[in-house]
Amino acid sequence: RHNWEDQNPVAYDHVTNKTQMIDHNQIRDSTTAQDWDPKLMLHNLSFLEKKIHHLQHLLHSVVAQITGHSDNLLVQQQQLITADFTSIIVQVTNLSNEAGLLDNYGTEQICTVEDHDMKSDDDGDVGENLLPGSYEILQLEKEAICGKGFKRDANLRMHMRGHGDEYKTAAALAKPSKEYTSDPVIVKRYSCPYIGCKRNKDHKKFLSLKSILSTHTKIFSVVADLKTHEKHCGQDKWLCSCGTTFSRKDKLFGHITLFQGHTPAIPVGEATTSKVEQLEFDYEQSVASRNEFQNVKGSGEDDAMNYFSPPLSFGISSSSSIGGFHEFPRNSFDSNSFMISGSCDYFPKYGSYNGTNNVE
Amino acid sequence: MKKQKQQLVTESSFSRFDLLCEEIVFAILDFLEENPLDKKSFSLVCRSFHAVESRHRKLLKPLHSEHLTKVLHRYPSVSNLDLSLCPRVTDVSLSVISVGCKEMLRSINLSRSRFFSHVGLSDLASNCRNLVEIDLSNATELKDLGAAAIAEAKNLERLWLVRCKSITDIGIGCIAVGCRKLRLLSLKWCLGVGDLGVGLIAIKCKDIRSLDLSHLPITDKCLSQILELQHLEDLSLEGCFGIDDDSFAALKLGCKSLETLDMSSCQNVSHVGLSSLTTAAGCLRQLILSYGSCVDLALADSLQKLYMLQSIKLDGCEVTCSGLKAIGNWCVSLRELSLSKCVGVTDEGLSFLVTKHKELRKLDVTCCRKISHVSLAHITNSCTSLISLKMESCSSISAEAFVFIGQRCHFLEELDLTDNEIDDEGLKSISRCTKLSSLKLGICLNISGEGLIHIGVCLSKLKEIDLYRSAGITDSSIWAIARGCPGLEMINIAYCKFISDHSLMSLSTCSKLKIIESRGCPLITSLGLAAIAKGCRQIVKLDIKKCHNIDDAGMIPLAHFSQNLKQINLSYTSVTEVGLLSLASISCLQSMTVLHVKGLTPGGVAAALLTCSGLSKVKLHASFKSVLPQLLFQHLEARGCNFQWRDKTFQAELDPMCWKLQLGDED
Repeated sequence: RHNWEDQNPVAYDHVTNKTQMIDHNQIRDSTTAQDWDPKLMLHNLSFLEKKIHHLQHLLHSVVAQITGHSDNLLVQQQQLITADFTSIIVQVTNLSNEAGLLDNYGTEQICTVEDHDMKSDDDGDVGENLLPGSYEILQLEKEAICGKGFKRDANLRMHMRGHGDEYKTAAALAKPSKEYTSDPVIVKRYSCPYIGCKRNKDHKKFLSLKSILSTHTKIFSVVADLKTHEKHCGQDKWLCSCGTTFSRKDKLFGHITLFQGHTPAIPVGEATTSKVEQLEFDYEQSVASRNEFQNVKGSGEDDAMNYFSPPLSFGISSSSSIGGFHEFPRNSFDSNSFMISGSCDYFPKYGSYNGTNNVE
Repeated sequence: MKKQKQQLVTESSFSRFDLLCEEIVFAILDFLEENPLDKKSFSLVCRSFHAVESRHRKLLKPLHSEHLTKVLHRYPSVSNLDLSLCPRVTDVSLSVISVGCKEMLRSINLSRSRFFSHVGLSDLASNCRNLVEIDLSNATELKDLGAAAIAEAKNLERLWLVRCKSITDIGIGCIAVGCRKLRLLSLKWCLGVGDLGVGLIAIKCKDIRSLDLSHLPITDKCLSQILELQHLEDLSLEGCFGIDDDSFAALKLGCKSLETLDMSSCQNVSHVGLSSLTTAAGCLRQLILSYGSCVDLALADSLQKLYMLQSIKLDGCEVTCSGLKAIGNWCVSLRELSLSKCVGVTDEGLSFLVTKHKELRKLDVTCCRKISHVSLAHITNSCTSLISLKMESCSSISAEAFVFIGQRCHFLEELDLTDNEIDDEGLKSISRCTKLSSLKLGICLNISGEGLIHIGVCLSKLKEIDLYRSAGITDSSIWAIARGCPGLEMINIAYCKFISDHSLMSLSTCSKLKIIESRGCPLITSLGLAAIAKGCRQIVKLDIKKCHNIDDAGMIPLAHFSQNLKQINLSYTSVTEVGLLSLASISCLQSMTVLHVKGLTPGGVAAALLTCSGLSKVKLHASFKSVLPQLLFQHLEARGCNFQWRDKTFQAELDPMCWKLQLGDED
């Protein structure tokens, strides 16, 4: 076995046969809990439509090349088409289940469909049709990606093709399995080691990393590409509120420009230890630490006492030596006496404080 | 009219007053705008007045944030909260406001406050959903999380983020997406914001009317998007070095709505860029090109297509004669022209220009040292409807020429003659400009008290007079001014060494005085200051630096009467800690400068600082820093007080004449 497979595989149920993978327990939960969402369904339908178009296109191309080609190729294409058909059927059943028509099938792959709905950013990802749980996710170790394993895996499968037609099926092409036993073949998809990357299994819109033989998409068709991804994914710090990450700020802003309601998201790290909090100084502390002051001062302990004596005692309350001061209602205010109304540029009104006596 | 209503308020008996419905009382209250203390006195009359005033108050400017709960309870209909007098506003305060004001709050000013974070802002945005105006300027610590919190205020229309240096494109992006109704946005000095953030604003906030992008590191990438905004009227690109001629090259149509454009200090924009701009923005009314490229023939020609242009400012530019002449040949008639500090303004160019633009209302030729009486004759001859003429330091204009101003420009309201050769004859002539409200005669060494008496007698509408270092001024001239100009709000008599207490006593009859600068008047004593304190209760700013004879006896009445005092300079006076402590009882005192005051002990300073809770800026001699405990400063800084330490040695005063000669040598 290859070294990355020795890592603890994520405990997903893996079932190759797509009809098998519906977990009936889950269905009961989801049908009762989830509300029927017509928008989502419409969306699923449009996806299905695309899928059918894609199939049509494939069939057309088969019709076109039917003459003058080897049987092997035809067989391969037939396999592909059947696989696609199964996928469509599964989705139709799920869709009808979603609408409450059928009770026996799950709604699990809605999340898969959502993956497609999301605009892929810089990878031009087309997304797979694999349903969650239908494949095994292998967590790549950061130091484990030497490329060797991939190469060997590819070599092995290339080698296997030479052994006969049965190894040229779509299934054999899609799955990097080196043992051709009678066991159900496990699809392997890889999870990026960087947490927060869309291609890490913990990401809420996880898109798996595929291996080299994913011929119908261009993702990581060579190991170098995976390495490139690894290089960038650590820097995928530009985050949108929809959960999409971007390696470049301008990509994020382009994305936000396009989509209404999407907004830049601020990395969680920023919230902690802002300078503002550090500047906070507790008022009470100064009172509490009065004793400290005296200790700090040492020689001038008497002064230190003065520093924090009650401030109001310094108010000039008995300045009666200057005549006419009493008219001013200064100290008679309630707690609101510190209020000042109006804007800064107030214009004084002459004599307004002399009361009614002087107005005439 | 106003007086009558006031009488009504104060004199009528309660039974008669009760007949008035609340709306009428509200209308009366609206007339009590002039003095902030008027409303306070009104509410102190009786319970019902108190209640009426509490219900009616819309605008609140509290002095301390600690009592906000009570205050907001008393004033339930406050929609406008100005916290610029509260240096310390914490998240707790903001949460109190958000709970107390709820949907009523429409505007809040936090530009002078610190110590709040995104948490408080988030409270505010989520509870006060009708907020349309936030001023967050100077929140230098505020990061993108704070901006994201503001973005929750969906109805926001006006937002100031001046000097919010820690906000980046991401934060602005949040605001752009969240606050779609923005009409005014100021991002001046937000150095973390670039093309992407500003571009997103232009895409998402289509209602923007006014946009200030001064000193941002933006380039042409976002400029094209900004200029496509349909309603943009006011755009400031001051000091955007990233903008050059190419930025405007692609500009073909659009920005039809643009009326005011500030491109000061855009050094990389030449006449090429300007000519492509003028073809696109044909409706420009005001153009500011200060400190930009040379105003020559090519530049002047590139602007002549602006058929709506009314005002142009070319401060600090190099100007050629042909450029000025080309401006003169524009088919528009300018209302406002500023050539302040322009190098190369000559009699020939300026004379030609002013003879063509006869409708000029405002002209600024500050520091155009080459122009002589010829220019002044042309200016006064053709621009007879001038309202504002600023000509500080036009040192080549001879004394006789100033007579023209009084003879011909009778609509003048603002006249700046600082540092000119004008003499008493000129002043006598200017006294015919009866509409003058602001007159600056600083460093006019040829004038004497005689000339000023004419000013005092004739210019009854005068609000501001600046006599800085005009050495010949005497008490009798100040007496004439105080008697003739009862509406005086600002007077500067700094370094007028003959001024004594008599002047201050006569000035004490000007009850609207707000700003008095009397630096370096050695004859002034506490007696004069006491008279001022008693007579001018609206004093906001007082500078008595180097008035050696002022001591505690002056401070005590000041502390008692001047309840509006915000700023005071006491350096070099004979005030002791007693005076300082009494001053500290002025609740709205914000700024204090106390340098070289001999009678101060560290204990006294500390007590005064602790007492004066509203202080936000204090200038002290550096020696106090080491004498006083560090914890004291920590405490005061936590309250929102900034310290500026000065370590200058005691300076002896120079003779005004020799001071001016020194200045002349430097040129």
